[in-house]
Amino acid sequence: MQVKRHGPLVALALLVAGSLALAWSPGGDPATRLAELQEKRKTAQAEFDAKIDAEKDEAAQMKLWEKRPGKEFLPQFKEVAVEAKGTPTAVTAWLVVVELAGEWSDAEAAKQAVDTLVADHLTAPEMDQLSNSLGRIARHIGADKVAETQRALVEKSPHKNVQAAAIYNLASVLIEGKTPEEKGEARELFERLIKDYPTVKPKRGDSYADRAKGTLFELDHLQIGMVAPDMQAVDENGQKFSTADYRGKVVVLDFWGNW
Amino acid sequence: MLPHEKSLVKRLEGKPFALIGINSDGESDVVKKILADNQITWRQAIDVSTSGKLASAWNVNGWPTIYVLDHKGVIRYRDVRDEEMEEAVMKLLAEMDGK
Repeated sequence: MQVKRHGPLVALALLVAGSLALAWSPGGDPATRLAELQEKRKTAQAEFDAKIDAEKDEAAQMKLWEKRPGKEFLPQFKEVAVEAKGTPTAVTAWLVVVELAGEWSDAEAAKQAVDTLVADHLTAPEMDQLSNSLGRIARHIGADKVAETQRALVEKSPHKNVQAAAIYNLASVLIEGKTPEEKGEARELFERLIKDYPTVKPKRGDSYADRAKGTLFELDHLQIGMVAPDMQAVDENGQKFSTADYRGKVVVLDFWGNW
Repeated sequence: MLPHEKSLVKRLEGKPFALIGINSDGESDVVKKILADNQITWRQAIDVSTSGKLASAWNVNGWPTIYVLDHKGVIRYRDVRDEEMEEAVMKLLAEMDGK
């Protein structure tokens, strides 16, 4: 009787213990698991892209889009990041968490990722990625924390690429600020970037210094109430012209493309 | 965008008004085809690509980007589109008449 009554319970306990052990089994070191996770995510994304491409109906595409992959990977990357604490694997994993937390509006994950990266990895060479991602999670971690983190990167990172990214991103935040002090500091930071970091580039696009130059040019010459700078151009028939030729007329300048 | 621009250009024919496109699609042969296909009549500055000289100089990172200048060349409006752009142009023309 006793055995019969406890039999199923014991079996259940064994089963639970067994599945917990399975769930906990690391299945390789964190670095390997991170690589596997990234591969899985890439495959899921590629499959999804193919599905979207095959779907011609716009409403159906929108429905598909809501089920795009990514969200389910967030806890997995977080788990690897926690387990790999203090290692380069953790840096990569937390940076993916930042990206996914932004896309899927997971405020808690965003905060945890930023706090851990700042506490454990402030001097890592990949932190330019954090600097460049902070804008996308600002609504989750707050504008003050964004500025504070950019400042910490500017001051503490030994890497030029990280410093340049953080200076640029901090200046871009400050230039939108309300006080003249903030705007003044932004201008100083942009000028420092042009002087001290003339060639440092982000992964894609123009160098931080060129972006800074563009922003300053826009501030100094392209504001409402300023006389527009003269634009020298060649038209579709190969004829040179200048926008100054159009003085005396109301002019609309339309930067456009047929895409 | 295009329908508004076309009707504006047509409506303001003969008035002191000019619409100038700064196009980032490609070289002039590419742009000419686009102009013909879309019956676009106004002058284009050929900027070749989104990282063209003109767009870069003017710090343009999004398309379309629009500036409206008055007859003295002063920037009066930025990023106005469609009806808003038409209103801006009409106001500036009226301003010219008033002075």
